[in-house]
Amino acid sequence: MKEAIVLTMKILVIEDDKNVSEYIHKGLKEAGHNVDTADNGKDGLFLATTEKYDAAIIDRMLPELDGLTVIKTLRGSDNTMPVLILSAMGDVDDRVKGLRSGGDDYLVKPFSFSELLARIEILGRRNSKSGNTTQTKLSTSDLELDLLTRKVKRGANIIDLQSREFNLLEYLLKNKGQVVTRTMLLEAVWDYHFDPQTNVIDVHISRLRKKIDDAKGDIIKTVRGAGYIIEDVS
Amino acid sequence: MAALFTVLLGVSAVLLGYFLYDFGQKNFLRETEAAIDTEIDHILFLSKEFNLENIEHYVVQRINESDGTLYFYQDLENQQSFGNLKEMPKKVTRIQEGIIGFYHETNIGDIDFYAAKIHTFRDGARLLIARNIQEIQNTYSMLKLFSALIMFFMLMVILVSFFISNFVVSRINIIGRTANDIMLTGDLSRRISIDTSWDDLSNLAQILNKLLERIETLISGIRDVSDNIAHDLRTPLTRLRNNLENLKKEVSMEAYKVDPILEEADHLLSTFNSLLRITNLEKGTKEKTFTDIDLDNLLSDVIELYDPIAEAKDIRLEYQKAHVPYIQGDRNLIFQCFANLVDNAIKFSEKNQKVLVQLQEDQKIITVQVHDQGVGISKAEKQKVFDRFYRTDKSRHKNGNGLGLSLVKAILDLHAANIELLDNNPGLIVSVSFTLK
Repeated sequence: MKEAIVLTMKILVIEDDKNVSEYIHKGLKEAGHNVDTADNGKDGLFLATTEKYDAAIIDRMLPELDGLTVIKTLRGSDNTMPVLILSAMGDVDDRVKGLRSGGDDYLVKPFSFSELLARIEILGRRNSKSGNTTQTKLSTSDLELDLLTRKVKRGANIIDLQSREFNLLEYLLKNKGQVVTRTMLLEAVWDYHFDPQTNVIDVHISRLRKKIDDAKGDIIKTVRGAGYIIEDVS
Repeated sequence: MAALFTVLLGVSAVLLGYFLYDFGQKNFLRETEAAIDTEIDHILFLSKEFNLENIEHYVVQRINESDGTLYFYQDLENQQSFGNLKEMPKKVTRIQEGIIGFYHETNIGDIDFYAAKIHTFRDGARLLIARNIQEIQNTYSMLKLFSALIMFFMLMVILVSFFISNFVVSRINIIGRTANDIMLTGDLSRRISIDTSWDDLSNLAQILNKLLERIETLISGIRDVSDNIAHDLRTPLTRLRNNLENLKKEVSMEAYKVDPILEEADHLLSTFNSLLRITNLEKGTKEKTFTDIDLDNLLSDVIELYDPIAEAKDIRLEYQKAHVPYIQGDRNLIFQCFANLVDNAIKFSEKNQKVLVQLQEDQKIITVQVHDQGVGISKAEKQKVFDRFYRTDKSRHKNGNGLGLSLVKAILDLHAANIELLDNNPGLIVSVSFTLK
């Protein structure tokens, strides 16, 4: 069973700030994705309903039709395309509102491109894989993780992990071949959306690496300026 | 308030009425009674030494003086009687203990009211002495009428003052409630409702509304400025950062030259975001996202998250748990708050020291304390540490942007929680308390 390492996606970007839009467009193209852009909500909604996209990046504040209305309209017509909301407003309240109106993920401006790329790729993959949720074992090289018994094996050795460490490894493995940022790990594994002042995640990763006998970082690789990745080598 | 005032007024009116009535009743007859008593005493004195003739003699003498006093002596056994009454009055009313009243025609033909006492001698003979109290009676009736009138006016005063005070108090309550709502919700667009304009209070409400309008304009001015800062500085900064990232990809420059610049830009942006976040929190309109929070659970998560960092620094991170009721709040913000506090405590601790997080409840107040054994904060600096960008002398060389505690304070203010900095000798205790409603 082999999965494609680079999954080419067709992504719709609805963003009125030309600069940001170009920047995203360029970045996504370089990462090997096809991109369509719209600079207002109306055109964006038109594109989203007439073409088929793997994912969309939608700004909250848009001329003609605001982002949340676009998403609501899409969801109202049973369009399940994954949507990442971009917003200059970083309030938790806005976040909740954005996610409630049907967004799948939420990113606050200013953002680093690696964070955006990591998130949109994971959103796109999640969608393409949906339906295939019977996976009970995750693995990379000789590391194996059993989701049912919650046991981790490296070769023949059984590794004893705390529940949070297990979840951390599970999340990394589930998104094998994808860069996962520190913020994404905090949200997914700890389920809190907050801004850690210190790099707490790094310490947790290094602890996890020690436990799975990966002190050099061959399994969990650090991606500078972005986050972590477990590469897909099978 | 209005009710209390009315009740007080009512009680005083009833007391006054009772006093007038009772005082009149008792005292108007006292003199009459005393005069009759004196005469009876006198006659008794006479009867002891001289017997009946002397009494008759005295009575006749008194009758001749004709001051309006009536006498009647009757001895049924001996069929003897004298005095200026023909017989014992037939229709009598009891005025009070020992005193009777009856009507009798006077010399000039009026029917007047008399008060009388009857003395019974040892042999069964009876002597009645009566005095004309028509005038006293008249005065007393006047007094009764008068006090009834006073009562009536008092009642009117009570009613009117009840309506006035009710009006005033309800107005004041409306003003108070609106002010309180504005403080609680931070919603400055609220106004005091006015339905009339003739009274002073409506006038006051109008002035207060104008004041609110002015404050709202000022505040929104400040908000506009900070929004502009957000828009005008953050966006170009983001572009700068993004271009830098592109540059790194395009020109095959060594990463070590670009990365520090990128890091610097990120730091600048994160400071900026924190600042805007604090400003947003201080606007204070987030209650709608409040949910039940299990503090014990949340603190366990904080401890679990920061434990590896403490361990890496050889610092013991301990948690003294307790089961406490839920508090109302935004769980992400509360997590951020305690994460900041624990992060600070670890940052300012040295090897082999202890950081203790303590949760307890005492009489509806839930307290979370973060103890450390680090350098502490001097008394003079304790108030300033919550100011934006303030850094104590001892913390200047550490990482951070001087916004951590400002954010904590803004979050706690939003949750109406209290924060105190105490001495741990050595070290610091940050004590956060939530009051359950």
